Amino acid sequence: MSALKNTEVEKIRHGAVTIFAVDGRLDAPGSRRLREALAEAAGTVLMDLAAVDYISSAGLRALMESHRDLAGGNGRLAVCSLHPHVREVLEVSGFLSFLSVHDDRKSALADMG
Amino acid sequence: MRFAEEIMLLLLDDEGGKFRRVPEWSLRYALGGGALMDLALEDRIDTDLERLILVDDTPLGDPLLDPLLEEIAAETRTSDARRWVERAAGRAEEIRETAVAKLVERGVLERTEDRFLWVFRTRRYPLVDGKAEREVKLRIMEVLFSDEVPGPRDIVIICLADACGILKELLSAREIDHVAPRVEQVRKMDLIGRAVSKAIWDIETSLARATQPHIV
Repeated sequence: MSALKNTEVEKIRHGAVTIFAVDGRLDAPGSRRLREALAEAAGTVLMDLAAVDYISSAGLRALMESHRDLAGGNGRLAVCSLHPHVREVLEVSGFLSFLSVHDDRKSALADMG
Repeated sequence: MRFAEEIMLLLLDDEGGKFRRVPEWSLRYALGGGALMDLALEDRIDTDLERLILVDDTPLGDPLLDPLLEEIAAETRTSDARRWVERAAGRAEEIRETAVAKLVERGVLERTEDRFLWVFRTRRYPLVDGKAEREVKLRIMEVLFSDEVPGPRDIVIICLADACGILKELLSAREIDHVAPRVEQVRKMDLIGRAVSKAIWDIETSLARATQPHIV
């Protein structure tokens, strides 16, 4: 079995929006990396999950905590480009009821900017 | 404080120092599920829709959680969260005893023994320090009566309190009706919490079927 690659998080500034492009699994280690990357995040944040095809409970918690932290500082979090499996997990767990979800980065930025 | 301790505090009748009686199967699943949820929040296990995954088998030094962690670490077959809720429920008695002992050790409860008819011993746990109990109840109320996205610990305690029927003890029938959609929303947010609810729902459904009159 090949080793799974580490989840990487790239931070990109786009006007008033900070984009965090996640590449890899949002499992326990991947979620830790995501939380570390977002530790100082504030304002309007877009999480681009185009390269994420797996999310676990730990990933859900990371999304929830990021959402709460940003909302607590008058910021906001949106996600975009959901893989069908990730969308299914978010739907089953009711996360789609509070997360702002966009089809892709372009439409998200058009809406958030 | 671990979830099992919080459940036992919520079950405590402050006046008599006795624990309220709730259906045994639901308390078993809530205590077992609570231990799994503590392990998840301690980054020892993780779950998805199909599996429960061991992340780190390092013991926590907590007698309430380490035996279950050891059991998970020793298992070679993969199972889903629901299956592990059932296995953890098999440890409910020891989880309950350990949780109550920890509450006594922390000075939250006091253990006393009375005699009934001069022969039978009955054990009571009068509340010594009500702060922890008040805080748990407050957390539950704050989440149920708000639209904010709850934190992970708040989600878990609501899943567990709902699972073993404690919410009915804390709220009036009218309030229960009012918060029902919110409870439904919150208890979906944790995958182990969902497994606990599903396990209890399955038992209640089979019991209801078993007690229905047969059509001849």
